[in-house]
Amino acid sequence: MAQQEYDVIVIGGGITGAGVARDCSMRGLKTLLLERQNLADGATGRNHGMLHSGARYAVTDAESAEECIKENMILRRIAHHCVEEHDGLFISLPEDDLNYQQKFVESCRKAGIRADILDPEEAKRLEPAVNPAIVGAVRVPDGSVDPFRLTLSNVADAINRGADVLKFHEVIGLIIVNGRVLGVKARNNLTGEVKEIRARITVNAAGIWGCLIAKMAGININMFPAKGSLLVFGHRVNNMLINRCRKPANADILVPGDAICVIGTTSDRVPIESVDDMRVTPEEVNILLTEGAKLAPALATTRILRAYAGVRPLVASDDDPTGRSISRGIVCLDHEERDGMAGMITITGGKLMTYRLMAEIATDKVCEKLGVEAICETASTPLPGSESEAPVAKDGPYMYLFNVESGRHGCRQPHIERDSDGDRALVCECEEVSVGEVKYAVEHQGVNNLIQLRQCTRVGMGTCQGGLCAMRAACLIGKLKGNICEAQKDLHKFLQERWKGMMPVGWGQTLSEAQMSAEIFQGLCGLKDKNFN
Amino acid sequence: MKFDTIIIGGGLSGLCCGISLAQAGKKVAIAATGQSSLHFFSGSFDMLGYDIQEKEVEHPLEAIAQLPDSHPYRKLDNETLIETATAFSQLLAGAGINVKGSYMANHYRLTPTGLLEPTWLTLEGMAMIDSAGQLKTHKVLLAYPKEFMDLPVDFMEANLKQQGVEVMVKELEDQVFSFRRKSPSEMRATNLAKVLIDENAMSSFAQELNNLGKDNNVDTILLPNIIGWGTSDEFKTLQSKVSKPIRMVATLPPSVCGISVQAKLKQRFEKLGGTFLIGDRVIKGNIQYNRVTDVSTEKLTDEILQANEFVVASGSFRSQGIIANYERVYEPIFDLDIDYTSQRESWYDANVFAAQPYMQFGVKTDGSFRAYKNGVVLENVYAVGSILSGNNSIRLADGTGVDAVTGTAVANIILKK
Amino acid sequence: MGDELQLSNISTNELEQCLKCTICTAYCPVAAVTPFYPGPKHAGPDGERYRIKDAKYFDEKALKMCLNCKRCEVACPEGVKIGDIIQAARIKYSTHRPSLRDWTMGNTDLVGSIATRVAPIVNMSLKLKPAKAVMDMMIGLDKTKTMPSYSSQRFETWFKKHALPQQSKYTKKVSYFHGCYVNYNFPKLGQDFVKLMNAIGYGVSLLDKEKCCGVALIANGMSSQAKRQGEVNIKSMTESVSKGMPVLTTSSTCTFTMREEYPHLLQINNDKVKDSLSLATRFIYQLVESGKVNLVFRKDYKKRIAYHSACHMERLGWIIYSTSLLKMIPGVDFVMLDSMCCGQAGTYAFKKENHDVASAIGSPLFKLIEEVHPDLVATDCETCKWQIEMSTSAPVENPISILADALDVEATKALNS
Repeated sequence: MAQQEYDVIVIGGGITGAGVARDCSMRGLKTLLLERQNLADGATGRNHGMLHSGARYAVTDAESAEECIKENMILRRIAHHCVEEHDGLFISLPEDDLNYQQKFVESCRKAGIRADILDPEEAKRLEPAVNPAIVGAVRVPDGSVDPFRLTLSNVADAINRGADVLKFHEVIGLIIVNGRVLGVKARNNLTGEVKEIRARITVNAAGIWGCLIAKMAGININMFPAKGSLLVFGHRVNNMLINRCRKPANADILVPGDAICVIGTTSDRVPIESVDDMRVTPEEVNILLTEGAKLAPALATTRILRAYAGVRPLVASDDDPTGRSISRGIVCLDHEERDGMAGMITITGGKLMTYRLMAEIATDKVCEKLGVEAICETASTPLPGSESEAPVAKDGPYMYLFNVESGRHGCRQPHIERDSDGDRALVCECEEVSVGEVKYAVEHQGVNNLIQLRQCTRVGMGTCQGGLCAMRAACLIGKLKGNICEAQKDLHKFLQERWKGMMPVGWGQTLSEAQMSAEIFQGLCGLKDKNFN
Repeated sequence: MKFDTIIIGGGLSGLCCGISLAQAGKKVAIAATGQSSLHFFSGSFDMLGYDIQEKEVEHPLEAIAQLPDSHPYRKLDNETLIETATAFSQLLAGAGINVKGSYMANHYRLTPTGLLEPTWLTLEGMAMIDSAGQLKTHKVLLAYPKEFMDLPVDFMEANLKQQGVEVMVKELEDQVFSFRRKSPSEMRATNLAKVLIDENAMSSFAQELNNLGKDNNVDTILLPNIIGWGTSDEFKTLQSKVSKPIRMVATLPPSVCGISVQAKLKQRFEKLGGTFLIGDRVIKGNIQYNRVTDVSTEKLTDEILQANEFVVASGSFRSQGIIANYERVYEPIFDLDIDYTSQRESWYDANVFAAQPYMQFGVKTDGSFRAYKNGVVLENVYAVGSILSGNNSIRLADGTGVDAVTGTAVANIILKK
Repeated sequence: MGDELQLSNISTNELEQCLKCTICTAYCPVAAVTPFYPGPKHAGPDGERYRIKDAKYFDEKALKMCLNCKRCEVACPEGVKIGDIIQAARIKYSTHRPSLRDWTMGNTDLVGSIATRVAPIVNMSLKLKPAKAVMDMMIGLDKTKTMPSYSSQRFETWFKKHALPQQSKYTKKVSYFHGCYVNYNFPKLGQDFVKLMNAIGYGVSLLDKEKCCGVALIANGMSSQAKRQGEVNIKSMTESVSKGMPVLTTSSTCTFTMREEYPHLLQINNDKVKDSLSLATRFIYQLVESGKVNLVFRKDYKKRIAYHSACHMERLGWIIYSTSLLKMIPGVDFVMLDSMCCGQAGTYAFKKENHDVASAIGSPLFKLIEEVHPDLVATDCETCKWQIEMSTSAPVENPISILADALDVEATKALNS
């Protein structure tokens, strides 16, 4: 068993862990980030991708609202290549109480959130997809954020600053000596190899799985696993975010992001044992569609590409069966103080929007524990890709493909090779991913498999859901990594993962798409389960 | 307009039926919404590759006898099956499509990923082998145009090597494709095949293959299926210019050999006097006393298309022959009865590679392929091809066979009436 | 709301029906010959998802290369209006103002009406090398092309002088939308039309006001002017239809534009006239088929005629009408040419930047025509006629002219009076 010394081990490669790893590295700490799967595999990659203005929480949770608007403005600066600034509407339908609108606007303004009441006609002009029955609308600075890109940028910056990152490394135990956590026992989930890794402090940023990590130290954190399901539609029905102006409820946010839009979410308490395999049920699909169509009637007849579900890592404080009255507030637990277990802190609660603040709070605590004096600079230091404006091509053959790349990679786009015909050739045509971009992802973004490639580039996230591009992408990764056998297994996993999302919405053209995909991979190419074992 | 038979769907099953009827002197119209599933063609017609236990089939006729009664083949007795299979081979020959293979015993085709799949008839020029064991003795040169991504060359190489084949892989840097490479999206098999219609391009391409073959000790050159778009037999031309034997492997879609098969069958049908309405959708039919009297199409707006018989050859979900929505599965033209399970959750298996129940959904038919509506047989409406219920063509590898056999068989049923 | 969920999918121009199957790419005449056009799938549904997000993903130069031939739509098995997606994007996102050259090309009727007045001079200059070189340089017209020459007498003028007086004796009447080509370039087709209609007992009148259908304006980026002209046309046609006179044309492109593109691309409501706006061959075929009209043909008419499927004719789905009529002429040896684009596409091929692409697109068709070696090529589109006549040795005629020529006028008149 190899031994390694770090200042900090961060458990969990979601956005919180990524943010903590970046912050720790920026403050000069020798940091290790551990993730049992791919990065952004949990709730980070399974939400709306909404850049909250905070308006949604203004009435019920002023503290969260204030945090949101501050972080919103920060992300626009430090992560502009991950953000779309399209603003949002909070609409009131005839059945909604218009008095709520007044209260809503006042609360927003109190929290420092710009909130403009619009004439319903003006709102319809700005966003033609909105339900024409609206009786009121308020415009707020909501937007969307790509959670994958955000996580990867944080991790990339941490690595640049000396951090180590181990993907597919699962913490299976803690090294505890004399009431102090000295490190972790981690298993490589690809090889089965187990090793002990030591650090002066361990940060538990494992999201909903954080309560299981705490349990390894005999500590109880009363987590509230709240499942939220969402649907992805085939194209952007709306270009502004649409919310319901009422107390938060099921399926009342429609977020446009990249080339699609997402409706969500539901909220149901689920047993902690089930959180590794969340599946969207027909009842949830029904709720999402019924409620979603009230925001934008076109959703009732728009093709759905897939469905997915995540589990919110909320810390329970009471027996609320919906989980909605629980604050999305940040919870930072100093286990030395709370439970008499030194060497470990837990950072949880919060939300995608406030990941940076969560990281700051956790890192402040780490520094305090380690006696390091370093101030947090994450709010002012741009993430890789956002150091300067992204280049835009206005002319030249296939200039739009250049623009799609710069939309994803920001000012890092010029690092992508596009000098040769071969590098400009498209692997994925729905989401316009070139060979050069795949090479960049593999060579510079640490991509080893198709799911990681999807997170970096949107390969397979478009209309065909991998039907026409997964073979090309798998083959290319195999070639670049020099491991064809692994690449074929990876293709199998990727097709399974795509089908998992298509199955709950398997009708209409989505079923046709699945049938075509089966015809290509299993019929034409003859791939079968046994080929991958 | 009046025809003896109107066929809805212009793919393999519709064309087989149409050609067989037109050959017998019938006045036939085919209405095709768009192009067909032949655009995904593997280069081989599969009768039955696997049995219900998913075991490889050696002798299709024997294995067909073991299939459940719900399978479309089971509506035909052994003798009729043989007659029909023979008639289909002749039909291909009549259309100028040369194939190898027999219904007596399956052979193997080589898939784009380098795997072997049992099959019935394989187009001339496409890679095939009689038994898996034979593969070991081969030394092949796998050559492909540089930057061509629609053949997973590395997978093919690895899988061939695993089966004991000596493989050498070479990129073709031929200048004839340099212009095509400038397109990020259109370096497709079909566009390359269009380049190779030109004689000079073909000569230069052949020259490069000869150079590669000369320097390397190989017995066969494997190429992606990027030859055969034109009307002359370009594969023969290429082979005549290249000293080593060449075999082609199907590419990811669109399939050059499939488009060629489609074009040849359509030409044959038109030459026999058939009317092919391309890009037009049959939208509804007029049903009286359990008979369809006429249909109308999207584009021939005020036209009544009458016929004595109607054949529905409009395919499965992907071809819009049947459609699934949030609530049900239906057939959009006549609202024919569909064999399917009503609970949506029961349409799928969570394992994408397992048998998906929805693949078997289709139109319910009687012993002579006549379709049901509201539980009653429509006397002059037949269903053929992948719109039929009762087979999972992905698991059984019987899709093109069901198209060919049922299309041809129904033509005979109509002629015998 | 709950019970209406997801029963069907609706999206602009059926964008969401696209399965990315790539079948359309195989049939795009432009992508086949140039790597700088992204192909119909990529320029259409793929690109549209990104254009909806942000106009910076609109690539005017690439999309301008689309011929608008709609062969992608004819090929699409899922019913995606691929060509419409591309043309609608050009209208929606284009910020460029048309150049002098494009303005000239688009305004076929205005330019035509000036040119016919000075026809001999214009025609001479259209053929003169120095003049062509100047046009090539100044406004980007392709100097290797001969522009269609202008007639010295407009069709309208001829009609008023020579035909109008006789028309009042017919009780059954139709209106004739002659189009720019008949009016300014080739009045003979209009004359043939009048001859034929009169022979079958129909009087012909012109519309109160006829403007160019606008196809060239749309193609050259002047859709708002096209919309104004289209509204004038629809108004005149509505009047005609309300008087019980259907509106007939002899151009597949004008017909296609006014029936299909008006509502889809220009948002002009044509509901009141659509059913009564037809191609003359369709109108006549339907009369013959229903037994209301009988045609008698000259015994001495013997010709080998090859039919070329014009793109918009194929998209209309009406090829069956023109070909069925031609097949009725006893002395005609009919050959159906494989369906391929000629490369002219209205004004497309006249533009210098399109020259190479346009000639490359047409070359397989020209080769085929030379092989078939017909006495005449028949096609329903005037711009195909220019291109084929310029590029092959075969003369080209509209089916209406062929019918008028082959008709035994007196015998037909006697049967239909």
